[in-house]
Amino acid sequence: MKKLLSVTLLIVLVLTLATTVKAATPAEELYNYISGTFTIAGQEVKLLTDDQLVTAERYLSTHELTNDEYLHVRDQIVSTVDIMDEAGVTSVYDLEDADLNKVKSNVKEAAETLGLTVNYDANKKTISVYDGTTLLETTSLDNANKAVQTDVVNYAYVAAPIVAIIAVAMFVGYKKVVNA
Amino acid sequence: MLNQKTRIKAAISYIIVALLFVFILLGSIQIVFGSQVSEAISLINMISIDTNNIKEEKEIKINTEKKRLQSYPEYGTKYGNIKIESLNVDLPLYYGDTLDILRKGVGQSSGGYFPGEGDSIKCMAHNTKGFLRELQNIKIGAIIEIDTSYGNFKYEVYNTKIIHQTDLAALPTHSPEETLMLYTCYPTNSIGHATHRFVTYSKLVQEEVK
Repeated sequence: MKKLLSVTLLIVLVLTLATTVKAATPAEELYNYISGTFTIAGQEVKLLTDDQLVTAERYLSTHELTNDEYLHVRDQIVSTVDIMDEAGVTSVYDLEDADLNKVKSNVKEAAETLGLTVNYDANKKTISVYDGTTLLETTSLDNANKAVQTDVVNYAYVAAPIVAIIAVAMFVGYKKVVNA
Repeated sequence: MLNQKTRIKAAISYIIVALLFVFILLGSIQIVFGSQVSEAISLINMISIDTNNIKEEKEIKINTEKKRLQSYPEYGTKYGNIKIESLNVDLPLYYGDTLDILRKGVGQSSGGYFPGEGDSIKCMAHNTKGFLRELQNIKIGAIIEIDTSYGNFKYEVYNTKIIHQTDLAALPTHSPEETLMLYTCYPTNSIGHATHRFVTYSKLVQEEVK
């Protein structure tokens, strides 16, 4: 009798725990997926840096996704991983133009699934992500892999040689006029 | 031959006279206008035509239990102020770290967290006068205050470091306790872009949620 009671209690406990464990939302599933490692070109690789994951976490924690949206975005990520794997590279920056364009296309499709727009500015070397008209993020490729540049070229050092050259030219011109 | 030598001598004398002219001119400007020259240079560097519409700060609230903001400011908007009383610094704080933002105040990396979220906060600003030129003179124990619409946060400096610009391990994304990393380019008088950063590390010592 005691044994039966213990087993029954155990079953009830397990069932209760199972129903109270909250299933991950699609947004959480996506975050867990992108923060994992992927086998690319024989290496275990993380697709995003820690900094990029924080940005993704911030977005996904404040936006809901449907299961279909999660699966569609996941498909684009799988496709990107396949492209990198076939090319034998572990960084998108090492892809040839043709493959890079395919990845850009995947990124565009994933963004559109989430209702986002990705803009590439070749002149400014930036990638910007918009949610409608709201700017979510701008990444400068000039600041990739380094702490942001926060100085400006010291114009005094640039101006002085230019002023000197102009002064020389003026002086030479004056001398020529005087000696003419 | 003699003619060529004469020409070379004449050219050298022209250059010397011209350089003397430049030094006298620059020296006079420095003596007459003094510190206003560096302020003028800072202002020239700050000039940008802001084609973006002025974005109003929206109300932000923090979930103190989850230690996460309930909504985030739009990238590129001012959401607070950063003050360092000991250095006479009082600058607007923006979310984002583009050149346009750094012309206006202190930028905050999107690859970090916000004040009150209990993790790494990474901020940076220009090393010119009116921005963080004096940051390298900050003392251990100095207080850096961040005032936002959702709370006031005070951080105490416990370390400073000069790091190479690619040494991202010195600016970790995660910290065991809330840490503010505020940096600027180093040295301040480099010709061309600096390859190092002067970084201050501060821990949260006081927070007051609004």
